[in-house]
Amino acid sequence: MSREMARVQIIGLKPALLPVIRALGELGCVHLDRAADAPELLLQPLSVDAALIRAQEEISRHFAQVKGLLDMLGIARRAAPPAGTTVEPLDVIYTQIAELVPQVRALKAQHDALRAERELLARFEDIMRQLLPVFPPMARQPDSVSFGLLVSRSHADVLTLIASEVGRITQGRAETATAAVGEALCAMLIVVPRAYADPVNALLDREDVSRLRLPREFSTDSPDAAIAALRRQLNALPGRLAQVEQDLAALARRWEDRLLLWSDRLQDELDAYEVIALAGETGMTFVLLGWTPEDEVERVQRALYERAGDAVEVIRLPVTPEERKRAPVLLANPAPVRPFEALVRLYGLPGYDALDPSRLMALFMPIFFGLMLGDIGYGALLLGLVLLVRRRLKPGMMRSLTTVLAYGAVWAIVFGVLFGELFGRLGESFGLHAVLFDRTSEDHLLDLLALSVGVGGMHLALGLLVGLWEGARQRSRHHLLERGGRLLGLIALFLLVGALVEVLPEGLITPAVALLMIGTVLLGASLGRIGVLMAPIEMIGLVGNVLSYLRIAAIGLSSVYLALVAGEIAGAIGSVVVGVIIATLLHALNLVLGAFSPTIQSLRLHYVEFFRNFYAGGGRLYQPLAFRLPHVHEQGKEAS
Amino acid sequence: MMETGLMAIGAGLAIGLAALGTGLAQSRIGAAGAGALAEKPDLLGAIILLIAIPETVVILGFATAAMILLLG
Repeated sequence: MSREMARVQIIGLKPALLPVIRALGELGCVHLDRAADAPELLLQPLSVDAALIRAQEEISRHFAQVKGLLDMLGIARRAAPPAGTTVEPLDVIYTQIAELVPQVRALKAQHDALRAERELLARFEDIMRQLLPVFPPMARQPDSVSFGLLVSRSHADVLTLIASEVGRITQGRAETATAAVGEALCAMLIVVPRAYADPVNALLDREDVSRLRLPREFSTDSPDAAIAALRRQLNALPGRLAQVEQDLAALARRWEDRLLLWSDRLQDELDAYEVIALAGETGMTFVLLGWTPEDEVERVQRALYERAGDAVEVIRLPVTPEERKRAPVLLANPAPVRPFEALVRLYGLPGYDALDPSRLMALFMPIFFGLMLGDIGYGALLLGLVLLVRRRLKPGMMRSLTTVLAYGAVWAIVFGVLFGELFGRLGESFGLHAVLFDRTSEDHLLDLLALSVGVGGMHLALGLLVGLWEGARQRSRHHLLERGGRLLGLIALFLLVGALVEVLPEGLITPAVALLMIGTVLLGASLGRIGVLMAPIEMIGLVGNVLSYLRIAAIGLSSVYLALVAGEIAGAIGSVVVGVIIATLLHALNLVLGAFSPTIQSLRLHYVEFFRNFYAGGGRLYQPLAFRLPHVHEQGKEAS
Repeated sequence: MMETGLMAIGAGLAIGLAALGTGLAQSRIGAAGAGALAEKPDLLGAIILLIAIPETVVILGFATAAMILLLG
C-alpha cells in the first residue's frame, strides 16, 4: 500500500524563501517538484541573484573543506547527534574551519613526508647493504666519485654495456660492482676519479637508466658512514612519526563532534540552496510545488505559518487523474512486510495508484524458499545465523535480505517437518518421519513435481486474478481481455492434464478444450491484429510459466541429495573424526547454497512469472527535502 | 537392463544439454549485465530478471528428464 498524497502549493514573499525552505527541511515530509513544470500555473523559474550564488559557493567550498578534514583526521560517520545539540552560526563555523585547515594540513604534510622518507631510506639502506660487500676499494678514497644505477633484472645486460663505455671514457681507470637487490632489481656502483665525473655523468644521463641517488645529507660520507647515518635516521623516524600521529589523533578527538556536526549542517544548507532551483516566481512572490502525505498537510501549514507568518500561504491543490499518476510513492506496509519492499523496489517501484505487491511477496516468497530448502537442520542453522548477523546490520538492503532469509528459514523448518528431513536423513536415527511425503524416495518424485506445479498454478492464478482486478479498477479493456484469456487458458490446462492422467473425470476434456479456445480468442483480441499469430504462442508460453515452478522441486532435490551425500560419505569413511569433518564441510556448503539459490529462484518466480500478470512498476520514489539535523538548533537562536 | 541404461543416458542428455544452453545464454547476459550495472546500479532488478530468463530451458530439460525416468 502507498500512502495517500496531497499536492501542495506554497506561495510566499521572496525574502521568506530560505526560511520556508529551511522549515520544510526540518519537517522532512514535503517532496518538491519543479514549479515551472506545472503547465496550469504558468510560472517562470525563480531567478537567482549573485549574492545567493556566492553564498551557495561559499557553503559548498566550506563543506568540501570539512569533508577533507574528516578524511585527513580519519573520522568516520556516526549516528545523528542527540536532540538539544546546538551548532554555531555559519560565519563562526567558517572562521573555525579557516583556523583548523592549516593546522591539519601542516601535520598531515609532515606525516606524509615522514612516511615517504621512511620508505625511501629503508630502500636505500637495503640497496647499500647489498652493495657493501662488493664495494670497490676506490670508493673510499676522497678523490673519487661514485654513481649508483638501478635496473630490473631482465635488463641487467645494459649494465655490462654501460660498464664498458665508462671504461672507455676513463681509459680503464673506473671500478664497478654489481649486486642483486631483492628479486626483481639489479644495482651497479661505478667509481671513477673525480676528473672523469662530468663525462660519466653525461653518459648516464644520455642512457636514461634509473640513478640511485642518496639523499644529499648522506651522499658526501663514505659508504659505511652513509649506512650508519641511514640507520640512525631510520631509528629516529618511528618516534617522530608517532608524535605527529598523536598530534593528529588529539586534533581528531578535539574536533570530531564539531566536524561531524558542521558537515551535516553545511550539507543541509546546501540541500536548501539546491531547492531554490525548483521554485517558480511571480513579480513579488516565490512558488514551491510539492507532495506531502495527506495526514501531514496540517503540520506543514502550521510549521510554515509559525516560521514565516503572513508572508507565506500553503494551499492544497486539487489532483487531476493525470497528476495522480505522477504522484510520488511512499510505501506504507506493516513492519513484517517492509523488508519485502526493498525487493519490490529492485524490480521497480509500484505506480501511485497501482497495487503494491509487497504483501503478496511477503506471503509467497518465504513459502517457496521453505519448499526448496525443506530441512529442519538447515532451516534452524540458517535462522540462527541470520538473526545473529541481522542485529549487527544497519537498516538497509542487507538487513532486509536477512529478514527475508529468516522468514524463509522458518518455512524451511516447517517443510522439513513435513518432508521428514534433518540434515538429509539424519533425522531417521531420531525417529523423524515424513508427514507429507519423503522427497528422497523414488516413489514420491511425481508427488514432488505435482506439488511444485500445483503451487505454481495457484500462484499464477492468483496473479491473474489480481491482474483482472487491477484491469477492472483501471477500466482497461486490454488488460481484462489479456489476463482473462490467460486465466481461462490456465484453468483449461489444469483440467486437461487432470483429465488425461485420470485424476479428474474424462468428461472434462471437452469443456477444457472449449475453455482453452475461448481463452486463446480473448488473448488474441487483446493483442489486436497480430493476436491471430501471437495468442497460441502466448498460450504455449503459459505452459512454460507453469513448468517454470518445477524449479522448486529441482532445487529442493539438489539440496536434499547433497545432504544425503554428506551423510553417506561420513558413514563410508572409516575414521569417525575425518567423516565428521567432511560431512560438516559438505553440510556447510549445502547451507550456503541453500541460502543463496532458493532466494534467487524465489525472486525469479515472482519477478518473471508472478509480476507479469498484474504489475508494471514505474512509480516515482517519494524523496522529501529532509535535513540531517532537524532537531539541532543554531547557537543564539530560539529552538523552533 | 540395457533399456534402463539408455533411459538414464537420455535423461542425463536432456538435462545436461539444456544446462549447457542455459549456461551459454547466462554467461553472455551476465557479462553484458555486469557492464550495464557498472554504469547504472539501478538496473540490478532488471538484470537479475534477464539472467533468470534462460533458466526456463534447464527447467524444461529437468521436466523432460523426469518424464523419461518416470514414464519410461
